[in-house]
Amino acid sequence: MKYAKGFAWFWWDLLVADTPELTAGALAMALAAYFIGGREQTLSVLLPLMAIALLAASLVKGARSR
Amino acid sequence: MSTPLLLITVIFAAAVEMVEATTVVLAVGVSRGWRPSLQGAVAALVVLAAAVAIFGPALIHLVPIDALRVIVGTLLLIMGLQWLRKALLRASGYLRQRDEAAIFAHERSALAIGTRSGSFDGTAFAVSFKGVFLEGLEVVMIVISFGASTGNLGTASLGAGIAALVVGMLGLALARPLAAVPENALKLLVSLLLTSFGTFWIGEGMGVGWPGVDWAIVWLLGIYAAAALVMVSALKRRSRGVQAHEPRLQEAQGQESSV
Repeated sequence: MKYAKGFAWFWWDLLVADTPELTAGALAMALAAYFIGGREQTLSVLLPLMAIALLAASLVKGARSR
Repeated sequence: MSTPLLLITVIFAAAVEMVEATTVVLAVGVSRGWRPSLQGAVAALVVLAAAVAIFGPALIHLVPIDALRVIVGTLLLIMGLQWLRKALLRASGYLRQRDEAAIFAHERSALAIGTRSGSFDGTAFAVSFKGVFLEGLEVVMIVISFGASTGNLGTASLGAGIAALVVGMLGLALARPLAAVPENALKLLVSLLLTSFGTFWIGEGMGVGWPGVDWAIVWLLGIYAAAALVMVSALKRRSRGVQAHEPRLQEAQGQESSV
């Protein structure tokens, strides 16, 4: 049980920690890519734009909390 | 994907984590003795190498390549954005820079308090093992991600091995924390690479026809680097604005309270 908790904690700390918005946003990006899938050229523009918007939102949150 | 690009990316990513692990190994070695410290570090490296050897080929053979690329791309994107966020907040002064010398001093003083029991220093072994293992797990994830997505686990493992060897030897030769390594700059570069690869592989897994095919990683890197520069400059402006506003705010609050 102790090791299972430690393992779960490691993954939580690695992938979520204090930036759940980035984890949720990246998952949303993958989902969006799945649904838009057919329109290939759109995704090559949309994916980087979504990542930049996600990062900017998280930075604003980070800067405001300090 | 070209082998040199894969190798360089993994070397840089692993080097960032290895600098942090080396600080712990050095602190243990200096304060409790080199033997248990190195034993702990080597034991952790063996466990990590075994994890790559077991899970890497299993992933390559069991998971369809497109699904694997989407999963790996999402994981790399999360890690890349997290590292990028931290590096940008540090570069703009919102977060303190990581100070290996201070961490080394802190670890050393904490370890000096404990006592040794018997001939084998279990505490020193455990601290060194844990330091290398925890930092190394992130490297394992990166090695497996890059290795599995490109079908080139050997090159990815070689990159991590080179980074561990070079950083470890450098740390042992100097016998002091690698404070001179520009860790924040290195982390910024690696985070840009991870974010670019993450985006690229999510798209690849979904069948996106990237303009420039594999060269898309380079233009993605350029776009993210440009965005990072704009964001750092905006954050710095905001920081200066807040600093300039604070004294006026305090003055106004002082006048209010005196009325």
